[in-house]
Amino acid sequence: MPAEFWYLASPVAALAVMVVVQGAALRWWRGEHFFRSVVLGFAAGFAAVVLFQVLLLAGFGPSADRWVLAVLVNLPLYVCLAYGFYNFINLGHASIRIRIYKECADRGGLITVEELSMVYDEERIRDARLERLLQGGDIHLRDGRYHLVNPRLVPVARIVFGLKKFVLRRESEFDHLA
Amino acid sequence: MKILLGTLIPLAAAFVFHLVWWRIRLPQRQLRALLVIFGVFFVAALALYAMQPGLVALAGAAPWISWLYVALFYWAAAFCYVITYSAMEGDSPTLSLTRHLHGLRGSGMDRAELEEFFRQRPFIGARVKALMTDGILLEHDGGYRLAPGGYVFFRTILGYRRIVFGKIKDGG
Repeated sequence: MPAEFWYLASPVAALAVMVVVQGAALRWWRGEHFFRSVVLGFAAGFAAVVLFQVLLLAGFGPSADRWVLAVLVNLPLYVCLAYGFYNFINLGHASIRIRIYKECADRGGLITVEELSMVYDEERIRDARLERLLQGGDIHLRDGRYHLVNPRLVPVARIVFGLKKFVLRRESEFDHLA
Repeated sequence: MKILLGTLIPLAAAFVFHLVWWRIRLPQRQLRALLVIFGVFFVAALALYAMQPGLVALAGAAPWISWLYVALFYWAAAFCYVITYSAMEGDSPTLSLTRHLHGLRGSGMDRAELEEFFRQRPFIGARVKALMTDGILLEHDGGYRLAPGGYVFFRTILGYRRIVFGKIKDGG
């Protein structure tokens, strides 16, 4: 196989490292620390892709084209693959649509409004998300009031709502409330 | 550099086309329309590279390696955008609440205000509506039924999650 084939294979191999490390970490932590397992998996995959590029450049000899492949193509490509994988596993974790599909599929493809409300209603969503934010240390209950104490999700929210405004020309699907 | 440009140019063209289309009229099935746009621009780019292999050629490598490189990079980046778009299309309860609390500065909100915040934002209702718009759920005798289909994507996500996380809990 030519050198370029191995350049092409290296970000995919790094993704495999991320998948294995993230899955193993989550199993090790018995399903807890989901986000931490993703960060660990991403870091392991990133270290692997950088190592692969060093080995490829040293092994096959550097050239301008190969430097571009190693730095400007393979590193962003790994980040894209890792982002896709993170969202793939996070969809099953947080996507309401997929969970509604699951409830319906579990009942042979039919679900009544009452059944859906029993397993997955607005109050349950509210309480589950609130619990997750409290346990994650993002918000804190003090004197009967909920406060944002860790703003780590604020930049994510800014990007998502900013993109929404740019592409969809609205900041929220509930903009009529504003 | 050829692989980089050979990927970024059709991606940028697809993105601009999508923005223009969305400015003119928002498609009813947005994710599907987005995938069609990226698919059409990818096929067009690949056809161009098949006719003019020099545009993405890598020295010493067979043309199929260049095409595979472009395909992998193009779809990895396109799916990044499609995934981000799916998060933009509907509001995330977690991000909405975070943003709202951040906007309140230090004053925070009590339980009643929090319940009112969620009462005004029926996330489940909005997602059920989105599933019906996408043709996945159909109204049926006081409830819903799944439209015929394989749902390979949904089943893959849930299957992988079951393997790594174990039994899936309800809610949230």
